Amino acid sequence: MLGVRLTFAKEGRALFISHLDLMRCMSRGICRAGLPVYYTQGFNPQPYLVFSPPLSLGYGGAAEICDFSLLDEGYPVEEVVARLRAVMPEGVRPIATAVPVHKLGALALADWEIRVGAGMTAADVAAARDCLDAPEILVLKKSKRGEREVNIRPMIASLTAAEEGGALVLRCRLPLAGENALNPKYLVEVLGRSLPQFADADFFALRTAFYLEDGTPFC
Amino acid sequence: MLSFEQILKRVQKPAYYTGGEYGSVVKEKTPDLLRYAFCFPDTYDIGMSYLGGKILYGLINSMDNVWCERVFAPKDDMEALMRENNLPLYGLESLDPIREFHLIGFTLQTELSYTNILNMLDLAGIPLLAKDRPDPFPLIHAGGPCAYNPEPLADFFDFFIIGEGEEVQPEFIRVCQQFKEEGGSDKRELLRRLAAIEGIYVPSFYDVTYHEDGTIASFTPNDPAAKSTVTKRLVQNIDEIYYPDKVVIPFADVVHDRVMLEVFRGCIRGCRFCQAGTIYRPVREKSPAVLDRCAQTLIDNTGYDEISLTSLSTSDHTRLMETTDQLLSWCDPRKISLSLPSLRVDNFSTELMDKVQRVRRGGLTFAPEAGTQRMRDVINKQVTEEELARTCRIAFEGGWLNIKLYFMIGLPFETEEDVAGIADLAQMVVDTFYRCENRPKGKSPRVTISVATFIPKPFTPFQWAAQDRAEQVDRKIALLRDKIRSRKIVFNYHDRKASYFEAVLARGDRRVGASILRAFELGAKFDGWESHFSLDLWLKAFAETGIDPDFYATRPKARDEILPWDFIDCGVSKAFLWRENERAAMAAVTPNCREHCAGCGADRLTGGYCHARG
Repeated sequence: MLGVRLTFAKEGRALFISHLDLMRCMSRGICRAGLPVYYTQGFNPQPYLVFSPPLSLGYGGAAEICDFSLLDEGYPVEEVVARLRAVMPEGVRPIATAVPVHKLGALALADWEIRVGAGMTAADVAAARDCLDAPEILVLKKSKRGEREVNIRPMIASLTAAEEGGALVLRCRLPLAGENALNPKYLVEVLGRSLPQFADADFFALRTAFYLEDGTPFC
Repeated sequence: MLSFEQILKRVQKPAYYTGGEYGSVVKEKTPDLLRYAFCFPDTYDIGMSYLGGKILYGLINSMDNVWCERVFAPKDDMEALMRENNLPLYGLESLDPIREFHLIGFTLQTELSYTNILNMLDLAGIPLLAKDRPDPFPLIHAGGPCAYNPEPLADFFDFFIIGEGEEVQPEFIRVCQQFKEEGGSDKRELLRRLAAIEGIYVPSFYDVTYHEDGTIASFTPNDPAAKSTVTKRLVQNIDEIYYPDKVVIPFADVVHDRVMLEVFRGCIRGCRFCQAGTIYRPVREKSPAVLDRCAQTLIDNTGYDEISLTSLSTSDHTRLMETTDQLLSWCDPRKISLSLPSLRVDNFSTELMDKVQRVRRGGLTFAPEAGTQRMRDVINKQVTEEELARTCRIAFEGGWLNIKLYFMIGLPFETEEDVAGIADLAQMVVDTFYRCENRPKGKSPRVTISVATFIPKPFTPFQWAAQDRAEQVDRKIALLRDKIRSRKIVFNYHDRKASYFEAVLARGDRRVGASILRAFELGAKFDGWESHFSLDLWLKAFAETGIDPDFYATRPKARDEILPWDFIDCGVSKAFLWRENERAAMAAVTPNCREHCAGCGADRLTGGYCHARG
């Protein structure tokens, strides 16, 4: 069996589809592409696909990941992406395929580009930077086990703030998996709570890259 | 004001409103382009499950210089945000407002969607009444099964299409293209050209007068272009008609999300309550080779893993075994499953069961429709208790535990004994389980009986019949509930209230249009949804517009009465329907079309051809 790692973008009209929708879409695309994909074994066989963690509705992904296996070990991996491109809807765009190096379970951090609000000035950007640089940032974080107050400051591995086209653009690296996973919406929430110019500001979050725990780029 | 993206962030099902699905068609906007909005007056998940929509979407988009887009009814949350933010109803492909389109077509699948149609026009910013739309475009029209009595909607639509759409759609679209190219601006002139096409009905070209008792006195053309009878359109050679080779694959979860393969049109059975069984006559069957080719193309182009063989009664296809064998020969290795909805009790077999759905998903559903043999003879549903017992035994031995049975109450000539018979029949199915030697051990069956109130429909032998009054229905339901003893039997009852107003709309005339408009103004929409439907609101609308609902629903109609839909020739003759009505009164069975031709008259429209006669 040949493991294949597909990198794809989730964008445009597909921004508002759920993770389940995305899984179905990819599964059908792989069937349309006629790839000799490995199926789950059981009463209801389905192409066996594993994805990078779900994006919230409305978030984009510039380099999302889908792993699957091909039954034909000699299948040209470089051909897979061309075949998929021809049969995917416009918002789910295959970028590249490769043989996986790391395991998906080792995904630990992600880079995000978060565009917040409109008509922002340099002063607003500086205020936002200061706000997110405070020694302690407490938010009420929701998880499966309910809500609890957490200091998210230590979770933010890196952060820059800039003004681009009138929006505040935050570029940050946040934990992705497990108990400490941090959704970018909390950063926007903190800004909205602390600074009047960000109250009710709209934002768009784009996930751009994945890393291992030690910061090694995931591949 | 919120932007489109901001609106999407605030709704529950944004994927219903964004389009961009694989298989959706995008065309370049040129000056020659005719824009067509195909509107389904219910939500995306229901509309995207509709086979006729897939066929017409593919067909219209296969034409040059025409772009067909899909439009569905937004759910409440989306509608509220659209209204608050002045976002008019738009086509899912271009996201352009449909009021800028040339043709706006609605499919009429159920009377319960009529208020949704008005709501969608309103959301689009289009005047609801045809007389308030002086310009030729957008031209608002409708087709589908409910168009066989278009009269309640006559005030709203510019024209209706009676019959199957595959041939008539391209014909009238070409007429509209021509008119647009000529730069025509006289709407009446365009409607005259359309009225010349067989199967097209322009309601404003007819005048109706009424007797003092409210029945119709005359129905006459007022324009030389209007024919006195509108004859339904139908496809002559079903093997050669257009069938889509690709379809739109929704991102979101929809009700029927699989390849739908239409195996035949029409039905040989002649159940006396069934409108579909009449209006799609004569029976026309697709050949196994054509079905196999369509299925392979669709599987290759969609990536679906299931094929559903659809028709009014799939096990009546004369070459079903041959067809399923051929399909399974390549479906099995590709892990594609077959499903056969619409199976009949009387020809269900182990062999057939083994072919479908290796995975025993859910249960099996059958429709005996009535509880006693006498009542089944009245409605001409030729299913016996022995056949039902045999079928259930096969199902139980095959590992199924859940059997669902569909029934109607309030049928013409029904007695209390017939109603009680429903409980007896369900009990018989439970007993059958315990008599099965090979039943699943240590498990118990569940028999669900789902009961709906009968609604008399146009173009059926019961089109003259009275619907039961509310108190009669309540008594029958109480009687039935009381008769059910076993805890293995689950009783589901479809509320009679909606059935009552559905009966008014189904057999209404033009005057009922005012009530629909009033009901919409009072806030009616999604009348098919229990969460939204309000009978009180409809009764208020009827009262305020001077309509007596009982006149339409519970009054038996005389043989010589002019019925609102009499100007339509659906092939099957009124004489045949009356004959069947009289046979129902005698509980006399009419054999199915393959056993013996009953002379319904539908073959007049196919030059004497009917597949049931060979």
